[in-house]
Amino acid sequence: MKEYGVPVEILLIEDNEGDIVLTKKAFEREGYPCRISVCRNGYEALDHLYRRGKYGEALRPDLIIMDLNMPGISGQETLTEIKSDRSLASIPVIILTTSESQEDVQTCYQLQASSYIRKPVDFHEFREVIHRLQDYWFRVVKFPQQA
Amino acid sequence: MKISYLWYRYSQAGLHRFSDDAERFRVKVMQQFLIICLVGSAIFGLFSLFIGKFDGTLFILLGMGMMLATYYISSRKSPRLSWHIILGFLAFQGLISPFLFKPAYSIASIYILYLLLVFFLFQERQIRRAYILGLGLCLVGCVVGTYFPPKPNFDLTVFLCSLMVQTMVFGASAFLWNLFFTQNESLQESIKMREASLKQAQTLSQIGSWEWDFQTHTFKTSEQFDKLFNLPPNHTVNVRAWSKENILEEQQAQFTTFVKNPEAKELDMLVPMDRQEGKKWYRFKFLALRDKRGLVKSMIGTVQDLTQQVEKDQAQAYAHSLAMATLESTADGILVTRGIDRSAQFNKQFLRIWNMPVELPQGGDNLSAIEYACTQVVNPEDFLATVKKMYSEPEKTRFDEVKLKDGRVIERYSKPLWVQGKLSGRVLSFRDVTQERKAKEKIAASERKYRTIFDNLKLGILVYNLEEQAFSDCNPSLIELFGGTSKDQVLALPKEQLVQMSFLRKLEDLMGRPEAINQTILARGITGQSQIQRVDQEKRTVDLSLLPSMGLKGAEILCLYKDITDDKKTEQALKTISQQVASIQRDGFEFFATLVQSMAEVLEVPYVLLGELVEGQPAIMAKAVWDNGTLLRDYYYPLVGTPCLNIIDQKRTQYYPQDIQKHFPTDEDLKTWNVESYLGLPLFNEDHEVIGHIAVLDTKPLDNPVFAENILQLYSSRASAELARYISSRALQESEERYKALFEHAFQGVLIYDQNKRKVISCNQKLADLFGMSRTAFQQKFGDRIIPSFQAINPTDPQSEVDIMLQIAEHGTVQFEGIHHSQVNHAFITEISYVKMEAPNDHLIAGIFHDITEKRKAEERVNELLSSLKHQNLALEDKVRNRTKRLSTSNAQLRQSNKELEQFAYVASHDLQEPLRMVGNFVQLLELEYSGQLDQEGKAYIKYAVDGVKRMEVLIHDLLDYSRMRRKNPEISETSIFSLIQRKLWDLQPLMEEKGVICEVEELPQRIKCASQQIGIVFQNLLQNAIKFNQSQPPVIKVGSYEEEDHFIFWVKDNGIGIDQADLIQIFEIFKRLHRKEEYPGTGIGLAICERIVRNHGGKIWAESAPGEGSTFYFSILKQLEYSSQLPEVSLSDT
Repeated sequence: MKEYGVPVEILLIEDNEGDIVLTKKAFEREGYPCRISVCRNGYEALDHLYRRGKYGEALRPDLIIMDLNMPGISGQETLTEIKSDRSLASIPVIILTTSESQEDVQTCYQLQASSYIRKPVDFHEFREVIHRLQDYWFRVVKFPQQA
Repeated sequence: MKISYLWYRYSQAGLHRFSDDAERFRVKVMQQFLIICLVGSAIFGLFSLFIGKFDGTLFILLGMGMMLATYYISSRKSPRLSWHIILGFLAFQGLISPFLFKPAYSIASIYILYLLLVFFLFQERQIRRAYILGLGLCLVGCVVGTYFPPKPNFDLTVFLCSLMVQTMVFGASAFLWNLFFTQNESLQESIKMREASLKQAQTLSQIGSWEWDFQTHTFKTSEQFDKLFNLPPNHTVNVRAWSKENILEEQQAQFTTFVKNPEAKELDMLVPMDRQEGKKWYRFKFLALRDKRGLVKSMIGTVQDLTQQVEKDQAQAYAHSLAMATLESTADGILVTRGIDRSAQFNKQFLRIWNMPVELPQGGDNLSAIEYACTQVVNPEDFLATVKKMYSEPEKTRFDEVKLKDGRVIERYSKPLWVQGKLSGRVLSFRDVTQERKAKEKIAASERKYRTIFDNLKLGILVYNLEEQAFSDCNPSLIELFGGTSKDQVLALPKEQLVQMSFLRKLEDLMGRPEAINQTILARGITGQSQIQRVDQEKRTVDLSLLPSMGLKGAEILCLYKDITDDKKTEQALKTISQQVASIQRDGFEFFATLVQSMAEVLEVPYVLLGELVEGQPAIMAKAVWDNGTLLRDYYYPLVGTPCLNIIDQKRTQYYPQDIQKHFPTDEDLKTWNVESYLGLPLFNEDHEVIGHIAVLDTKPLDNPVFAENILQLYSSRASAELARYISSRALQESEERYKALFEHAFQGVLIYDQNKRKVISCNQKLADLFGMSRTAFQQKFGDRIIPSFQAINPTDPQSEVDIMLQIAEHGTVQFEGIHHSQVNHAFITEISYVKMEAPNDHLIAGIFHDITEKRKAEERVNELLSSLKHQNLALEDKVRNRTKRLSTSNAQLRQSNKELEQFAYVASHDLQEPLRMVGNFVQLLELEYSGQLDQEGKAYIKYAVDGVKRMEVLIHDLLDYSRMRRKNPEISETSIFSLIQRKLWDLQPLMEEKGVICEVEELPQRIKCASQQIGIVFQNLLQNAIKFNQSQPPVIKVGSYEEEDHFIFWVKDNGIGIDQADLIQIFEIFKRLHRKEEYPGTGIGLAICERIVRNHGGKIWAESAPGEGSTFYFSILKQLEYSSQLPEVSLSDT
């Protein structure tokens, strides 16, 4: 749970513009204070997390939302990288993807993803999912203290 | 007053010593006299001082001093002494006065002296002297008074008057004195008498008394006191020391307290003392006389020996507590009533028995206790009646039984209580006899039990009562044994007839002697064989056992009889048969013949048969048959339809007492012999297999079947052994013959060499033939060696006869090949084996010669052929290899393409979803954010678009499922189909409830092997379809199964819309739909998935239906399902 008034920092790793828009829309509509940074692929995401290059001023996210199928390094690889870094491993990673393959689900949880969510076809459902997500991550649970 | 005081004291305690008291009295008188004198002297002294006569005063003072000294002395010593002192002093005064020129004084002194002397004499009871002296004194006084001082004329008148007055004064005073003393004397007398009687009373009552003067510390004791404590008379007692020695400390303390308490007057103490005579008890009574300050002046008291009383009391207390303890220690509850209905005493057991609170009987009134008891007893009316009766007849002893509600039984015994011949109450004693009752009942039950045994035992039992010296009882078996009709009849028989008297006497004798060894014998009893004579004079042999027993009527002897007459008979028969059979030599037939014959004789039957089961046939070869006097042998008959078959089949004795022919109407032999009864036993070999049977047949019912069976039984084992031996010897014979044939007609040459004789004892024709000579010639040429001439082929083989012998000795066998030359110099090769025979024939060695010359030649030919074939083979193999290679390549290609196809289907379905989602989501977003700018039509378009997207999603989903059916290896497990269907029905519950579906599940196999998840999908799809394509009210679905040889067939039946015959096949094709989506939504993949799954399970899926009549879908699953083998390689293209 984040203290009131301090927006939750979210890093969205997603290559599909449509999904970026949809996700942002869904988050906006819920009205929890949050700031969404977007990375289009795994490399960008890692740069952002390690504050490399143009991400020198980037804030450390409280929560990472990530797609699996991405150009360049895949979601799984990015996840592996994040979870193997001691300073980043504590950030919860939520997988938001089209894939409903059991293999993907298993792999992601083994790589210590915090949740695995399938993107619904229905936007109303999607909003419901995001609502639940926010409710859970922004209200119910406690984030790890920033190192 | 003084006297009355004294009297009071005497009468109060009766303690004083009389003589002593008289002495004391005298002293008192003396002292009082002296006090008067002193007072008088003092007055005279003062008077003389007043008139100026100082000498008189001095004189009087002297007298007073004298008197005081006398007073002192009188109180301490004897009063007599003080009298003497006073008299002496006066005499001295009278004598001295004239010398002082006072003659008047002298005269006065002498006068007083004489006066006192008179008093003294009176006191000393010398009355006469006192009178004479007194009268003399009067006379002298008159003379002196008349003439002195000398007067001129003597006046007689004055003289006489003076004399008269003096005499009168004297007389009066003497009279008064006397009177005083006499009265005193009589008083003293009476006191003395009382004292005496008191003393006597004390002696009688054994009360000792004492007086203790605290001022003088004198302790005076009465005679009785001395007697009580064995003190000598006139002793002195040191009270403190005595009491310290004899009285307990606490009692001393008690006494001290008593003394110190100014108010206390009396003390009563019981003092125990250890005296020479033993322990004694004394009762001390103290009476304290105190002065005004409360200090004890003196103390008087009594003592009494209460030892006897105390002992009596103690004995009484002991007796009482003993009685109480007895009352408590008894197991009975006891209640003592006083009068008629008042409870006086009871013990705890009484309360316990009645469970009664202690207050009830303690109340004293019996009524509450009786009321309470009424609540406890089973029948309160009866109980009350008995109580009333008990009180109405108080002098009677009563005995009742009370049953309590809790099941206990209590005996009440009540007896009147007589005290000194007067009825004073009752003693009621209650006893809990529940256990006794139970025990009694048990005993009675046991008695009944033993009676039953006694009456029903096959053993005859006779009971002999030692006390009465007579037989008292017997059981029915014994009556039967003696052939009697009643117990009395048998018991009335003479003793000698009933029992072996020597046995009886011996046991009686033993029972009279209690030594341990006899007891041991007694425990075993006496056993022996004895002859008895029945009522009908028939004699029987019995085993007789005599056992000592303790009956209700004293010591008894039980005589047990076992009739062994029949056993004797058996024994005799056995003896006959044994003797006859034993004389037979070992020949089988002889034995059988004798056996059947002697059996027929012993058992007195016309037919006896001993048969052997013919091997492999249901028939009997009767080895010996006794046919009413004739002996048959080897009588063959088939078993079917004969009683013998049952013996063989059931392996046990068969007995047909009569009408055997009715049982076996097809048996001709029975008819011929006119058999009526049959008894047969099977004969076994060592392995308990039936090898034959033995049977006796009679034309009438058997006389004694048990006897016959016993005889058969006894001889069956011997016969079995004999038969077995017979069979085995025959088998041996046969085998010998077989081997002989083998030996003679073998393809190999065989010889037998005897090591002991060092020669060939036998060889067959073949061997002789191999060497091209006759058997005799062979024997002559090679008869003395183990091997005919040979050459070893291999260097490792034995090279000579010696080598062979050594090898045989070492290994028991040897094999090698050798080349021989025949008579005509024809070379041939043999494979030679030597085998040493088993003990006891181990001196024999068999040698076998196998001609392998032809074989060797053939082998060579084969080798040639093989080498030519080898070349051809190599070419062929190459071809095959190439083809295989090609095949595997194309297989791999196929697999690859399969895999790619799957990958494609998966990825395609997967990636198709992404754009689809975009479309769906954004159209909805459009609707959400721009709804204000859209009209109804626009919104409808959006709805269509979203619908299309959702359908597409389901389609892709199903397609993914379909491709996955092949992509993943399902796990085959034992599955309960019933629970699988249950689960699916549960999933479909909402849908079913919506349409009101009725579902019936019929018989299903318990557990089958299948991929449960996949079969679940099949059921789900079929059930779903059955619900979906159904418009009946209500929709009814039935599920069931049946079994075929290799398959389980499951079916799902509905009453839905049905399917046209023409469409029945294509419905299982993918994307095949029979209805418009708007009518029945769906993708058209469900049944295709089912078909695929069923195919994976080695089965088929099909449907039977007609439009409007519902459909039944069937599918089969292979029973023995092994996934890998049953999974056909199918690609997507198949569908």
